[in-house]
Amino acid sequence: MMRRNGWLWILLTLFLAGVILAWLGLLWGAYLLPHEVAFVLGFFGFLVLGFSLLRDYAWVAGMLEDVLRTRTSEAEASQRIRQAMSGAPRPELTFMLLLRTLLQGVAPIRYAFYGFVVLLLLVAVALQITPGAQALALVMTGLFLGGMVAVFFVWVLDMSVTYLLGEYAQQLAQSQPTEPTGAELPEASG
Amino acid sequence: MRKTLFFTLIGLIGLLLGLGIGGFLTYNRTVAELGSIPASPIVVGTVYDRENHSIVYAVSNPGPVPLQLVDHTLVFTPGEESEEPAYVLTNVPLNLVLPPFTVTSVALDLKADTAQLQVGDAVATTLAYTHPLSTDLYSVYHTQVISLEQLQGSEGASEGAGKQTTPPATLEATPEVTPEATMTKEGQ
Repeated sequence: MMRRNGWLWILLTLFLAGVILAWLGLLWGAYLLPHEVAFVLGFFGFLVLGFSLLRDYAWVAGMLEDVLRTRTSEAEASQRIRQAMSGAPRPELTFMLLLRTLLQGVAPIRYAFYGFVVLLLLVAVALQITPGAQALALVMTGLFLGGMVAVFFVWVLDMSVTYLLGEYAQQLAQSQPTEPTGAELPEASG
Repeated sequence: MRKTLFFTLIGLIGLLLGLGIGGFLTYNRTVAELGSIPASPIVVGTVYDRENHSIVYAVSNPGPVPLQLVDHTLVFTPGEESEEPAYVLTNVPLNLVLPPFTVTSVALDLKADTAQLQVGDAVATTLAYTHPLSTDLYSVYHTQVISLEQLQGSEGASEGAGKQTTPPATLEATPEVTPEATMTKEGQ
């Protein structure tokens, strides 16, 4: 993926600045409680962690939206994906297959990202049920909930891509009912 | 139709997430703010301990901050039935911590070698206390006119004190402070 990472540097800077300030003990005290600092750090941390997912899903969703509303032709969109993908995808691949290949490339990152969420949830729950760890559990819950905001953004884009892919597949099935498109189409039920 | 349902569902999940996060932050911020407000101690009961010749106060700390009783001043005013002259005990050191949300028994000695209390006698006590947020000295003023009921209930003063200091069911167990532990060493 050769797309721009401009926002990543801004987020990373904010995240690292927050971590350093929290480490030095300059963030909490008069204005912020420890679990609120953890909330902010969790939010930026998971934004950085899921940045490539956010970027790719937003890109794919926007492109699918353009294709669905016929603002962009499929050939043009395919060309853009070919440029973005490392290696040279075979020229006979359709737009749908190119999209699937691209999303498959992101799949391990997606798995790791949601895996981190589950891991953090388990740690937060484990601390919550540990007697005598209330203060730590509170901070961990703040971290988790802050992360959940970023996870919600990623999840919404993820869902949107899934939804738009379904729409596109439906459109394909309606426009060329007999021709094979090379992609597994869902049953055209409605 | 499908699109509406899909994005409504996502919006609802987002709303629930925001509700949870808002509740979490607001609740814990409120707990932190309220947890730092000291309360004033309240005398919720008085018993005359005939054996030890002292008055046992049940002092409640209704707040979340521990309070430190520094000293007390006791003013005895005789009633009509008493032969004892009036006296004052000033600034008797106490140094007793009242834990949060508990009722503590505080035994204050009356003047040694004085007659037992009679109905109608008045005992006025000023408890001086401090809390961690300030260096000021605060005080609680409590006046007790001894009634027949208190004299009758004072035969088993320690049991009586135990009854009087039973906290409400929601609070933690009362740390029973024995009269010996709080007795002043000066023995006035």
